[in-house]
Amino acid sequence: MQPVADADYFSFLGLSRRLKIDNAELEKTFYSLSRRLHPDYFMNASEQERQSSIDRSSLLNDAYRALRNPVKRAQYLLSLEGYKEAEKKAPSELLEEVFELNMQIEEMRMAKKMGDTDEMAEARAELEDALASLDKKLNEIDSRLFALFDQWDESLDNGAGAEERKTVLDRMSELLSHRSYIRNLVRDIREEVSDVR
Amino acid sequence: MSYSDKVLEHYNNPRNVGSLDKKAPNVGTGLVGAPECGDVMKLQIQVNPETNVIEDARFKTFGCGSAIASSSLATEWLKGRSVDEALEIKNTEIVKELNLPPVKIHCSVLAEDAIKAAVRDYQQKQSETEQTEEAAVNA
Repeated sequence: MQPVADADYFSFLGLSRRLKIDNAELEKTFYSLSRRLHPDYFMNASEQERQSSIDRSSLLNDAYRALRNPVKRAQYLLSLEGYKEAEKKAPSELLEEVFELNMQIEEMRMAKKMGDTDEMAEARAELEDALASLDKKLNEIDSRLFALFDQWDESLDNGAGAEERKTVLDRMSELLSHRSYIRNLVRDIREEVSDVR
Repeated sequence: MSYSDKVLEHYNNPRNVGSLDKKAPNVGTGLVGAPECGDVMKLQIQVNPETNVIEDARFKTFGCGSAIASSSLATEWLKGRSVDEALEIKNTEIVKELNLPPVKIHCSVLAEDAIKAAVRDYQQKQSETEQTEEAAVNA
């Protein structure tokens, strides 16, 4: 086995950097490695071996957590491929929408604070409409993301050049950033409309 | 995590909250965001086209206290500066002034990005106005 410090999650689990992963298969690998690395088996081993089993078990848990979720998996792949921070550029329409909806959330909060029930009902209805359209957007983003997963895997399979792979990764990074804006917004709106007082 | 006194001060008494007329030719608007935390920051400047000096600045930020404080401070610093001087404001100065911890440095970067975006928007509007004026003269 390679030293822990050099291992990325994919290679640690014996995987290539493909993004389409069979979760049932991944789970099997996880459980079988968990058993093999379990610190209980190393009770009588040397201090060094014991420490190494602890390190590997913890790496295994991190790896499983990061790879089992498709979005986290894509984020992890991007970080491995040198995308250090989330893509900040967002289309201005998206930023406008995020800004406007935050204004509406603020109106809802104000209405609650003032106990203005008419205003509250109106704001709630608007936010619920927005939520429905954001959920739809999220679904669209996810299907585009999964299409990119296929493209990425194909590019690995047919040994595509660095440039072609970078194009796929750039688009993935951009899409994940849009997804993140929408996810945060959905979370904030849900919190506001579910909180009935 | 605890905020520094200066962050709290801006958070509790934010300066220059609000908006300016987005469509006015002498107003530049910068709208930027941070995808990880979902923060969005809108910063606007109103410039005197004769002197190129920023006469007014407004902001509206949805985000954490540090993001609000960074943009509030930025509007304070912008007023009275020329457009070129505005571009010289560095996020590190904001970090220093507000004692931002390392995990909040991105908030100051966001404020710097917002300033640059607002100035860019203003400059673009100006060059468009000049072009229309030239076209009018040449017509």
